[in-house]
Amino acid sequence: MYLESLADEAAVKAAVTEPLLLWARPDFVRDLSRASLLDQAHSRLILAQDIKRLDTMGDVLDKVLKGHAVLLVDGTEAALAVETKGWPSRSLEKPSSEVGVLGPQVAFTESIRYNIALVRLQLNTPDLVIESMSIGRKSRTDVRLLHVDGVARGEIVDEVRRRLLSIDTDVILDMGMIRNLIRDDPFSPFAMDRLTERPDSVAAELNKGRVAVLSNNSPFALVLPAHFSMTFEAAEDQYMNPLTASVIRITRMMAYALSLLGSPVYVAIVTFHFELLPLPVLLNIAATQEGVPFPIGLTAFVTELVMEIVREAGVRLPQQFGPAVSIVGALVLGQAAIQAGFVPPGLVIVITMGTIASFAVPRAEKTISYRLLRFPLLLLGATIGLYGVAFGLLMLIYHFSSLKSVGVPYFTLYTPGEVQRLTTEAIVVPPQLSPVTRPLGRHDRVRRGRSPKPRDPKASGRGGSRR
Amino acid sequence: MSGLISARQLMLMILVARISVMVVFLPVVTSGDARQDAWIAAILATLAGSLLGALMASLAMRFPGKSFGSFAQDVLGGILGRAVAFPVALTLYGMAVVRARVLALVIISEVMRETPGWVFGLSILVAAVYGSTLGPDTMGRAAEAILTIVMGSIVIGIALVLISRVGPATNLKPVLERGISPVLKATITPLFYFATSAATVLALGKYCTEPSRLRRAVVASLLVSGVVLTTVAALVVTTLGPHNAGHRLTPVLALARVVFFEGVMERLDLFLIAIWVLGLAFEVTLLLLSSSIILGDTLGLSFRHVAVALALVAVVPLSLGVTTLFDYRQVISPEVTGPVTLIVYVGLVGLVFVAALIRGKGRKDG
Repeated sequence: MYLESLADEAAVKAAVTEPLLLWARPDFVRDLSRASLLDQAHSRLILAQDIKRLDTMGDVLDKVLKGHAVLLVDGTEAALAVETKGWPSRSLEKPSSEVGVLGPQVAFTESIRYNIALVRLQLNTPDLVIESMSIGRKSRTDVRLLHVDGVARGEIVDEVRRRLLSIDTDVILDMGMIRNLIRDDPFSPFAMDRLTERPDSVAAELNKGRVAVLSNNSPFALVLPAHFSMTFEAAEDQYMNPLTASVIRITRMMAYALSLLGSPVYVAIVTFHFELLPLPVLLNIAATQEGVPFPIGLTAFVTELVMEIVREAGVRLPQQFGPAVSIVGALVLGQAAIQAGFVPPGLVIVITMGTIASFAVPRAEKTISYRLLRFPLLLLGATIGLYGVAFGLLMLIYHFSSLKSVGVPYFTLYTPGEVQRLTTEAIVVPPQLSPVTRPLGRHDRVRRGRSPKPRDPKASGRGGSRR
Repeated sequence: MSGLISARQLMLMILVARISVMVVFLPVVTSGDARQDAWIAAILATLAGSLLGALMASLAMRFPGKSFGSFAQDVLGGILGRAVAFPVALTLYGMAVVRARVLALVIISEVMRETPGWVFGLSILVAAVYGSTLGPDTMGRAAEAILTIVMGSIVIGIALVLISRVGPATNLKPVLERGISPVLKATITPLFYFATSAATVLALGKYCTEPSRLRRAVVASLLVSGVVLTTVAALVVTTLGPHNAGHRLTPVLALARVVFFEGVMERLDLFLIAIWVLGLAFEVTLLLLSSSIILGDTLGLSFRHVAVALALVAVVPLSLGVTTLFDYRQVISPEVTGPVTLIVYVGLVGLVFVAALIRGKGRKDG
């Protein structure tokens, strides 16, 4: 018994049907009792690696719904489930949301088996533990919890496992649903985890002591626990020259600050603190603002909103239309708004710079919530100036400091035990300078020993072979 | 017990609070009779404050896992213990309200003259009550981020002043021209501020995972902030001159105004105020949190509930008309801060310490 849509018919034929028809001779069957017939089929006839004996009808249904072929023998109270899964899935493709020039160019697919294989190819160690579970009363979605034994902290693994097993919902369609159900603070708009579609990123994070969750039907892996500094990490950083990677990460941090604070600070200065600006700049800004009918704060708010709408429309539209909408929105609409005197050019420059800067932050799934922070900050800057921006930042720092990811603080800089985070995650230190440790690991803490310092072969080769 | 912090986090929390209020309490060093000897007053206040801080930390070390509100009752009994704990908690709370009000005063005096002062006072209160209810561990982590910003701005600011226009060192001379008395008098109020910051250990020590390192953490934070205070005091006097510095209510902002980038930025002090808001609001939060912990333990209530109640009460003084900075001078005068330091931090805290020693209460290594 199998489902045509979920089982590979060729596998069913090769593993079950043909052996039974070809090898089950009449005398063979006649000499056996029905119960031992099942055992003999298990041990001698069926040609599959994964064969399980089932004792309940619930298990039979479960296996059939997961693509197994189930062998039932009339008169016996057991059945055999044969692994014959095979459903249509797309082939391996390049990452689409974490594009990189360096490193492996392969992304996860919707098949959990492929995804596990991709991780295993990167992390080929017997210490890689893969725990299986089904989540969702109706969907019974296959979920795997991955961690490296002896590297990941036991309490973190236990906590993630507990949260996964305690999920009580009918359907799990994607990893996004799982992350929402197991997150630490459901009322925070910020993601305290990392979604990645790159197997090499998952392998790297597992090796640092984190755990990963894979789900069937989802091309993303969930990595836990996360840290704020991961917002600025790109997968290819680990393949680059450490100095270049560090400079690029710092540039991303500055881009993030610009995208967050650019327009609020501009509005605050122009509205309340114009004495900060030198006279020529001030006169320039005043000239461009002349004739703009609305207060600068309101104008900035509406312009930011329109920019978000244009971006959202560009993302949702088919690929053929997306760029067209962006061009019409950004160029035509922006130019028309300036010429009509609705928006001062200086403001358009600042908002456009902020928008472009937000694209420099590699974590697309995180930048959405961070981008929205601009609106309350803009409101504060427009009403109480730089003080308001500072007040908004303070509230943000408090909120970030209160967040935890699987019980691990999300926002720390120098907390004891986390000092290594600065050197392993915020900046990339050359391997010749220091060994790399696992900030989250308890045992086996050294990831990479100090690399050998380069030596001049001429100087070191004095004792070499001589004729 | 949740919300635990390390000794290092406690040190950072006190350090952020200390160096942030420098903008406000620097006048108490420079505007008195000490004049060009303000830096000596800063050094003396640092040393005396560190000594007082070490004593308070020693007391907290004797009672790990307890705040002053609890162990004062253990040492002196229920009624007397409460009677001693209340004034200490209320002093911390009073300083939180004063700081929030001073922040509003400085902003409406220096930057936003047309905005009502209560807007700033109440918004700081909102931040303080939010931070307090999040607990000590959250504040410990927030201190790491805020210290980076505040300390970075101070280091850059000092460097810019040195590059732009530092005054002649002769402004610091003659040393002790009018004797030691004016210098000692100028030491009293900074000592009160140091003691107030150190007193937070009486509340936050309860949550420290390394009670044996409390004293080192408190003294280290006070000494580092003392070094910053002494440096800035010397810079203010040399750059503005002893007479000019003595008549300014916000001399650090005046110092920041000497820095400008031709053709790029005309005033640096506005950014200094914006950054200082982070630090000062953090200190208000820390004081509100500490007073809530002590009061909560005294009354047997959750500190979060107490923090909300205290914040609601503080709405009244922070909503009253705030128009001038001059009343602040009276609050920070040695005639006010001297007796409070003696009665609350030396008298009451000292009473509990001596009683604990005599009665053999608490751990002996404290």
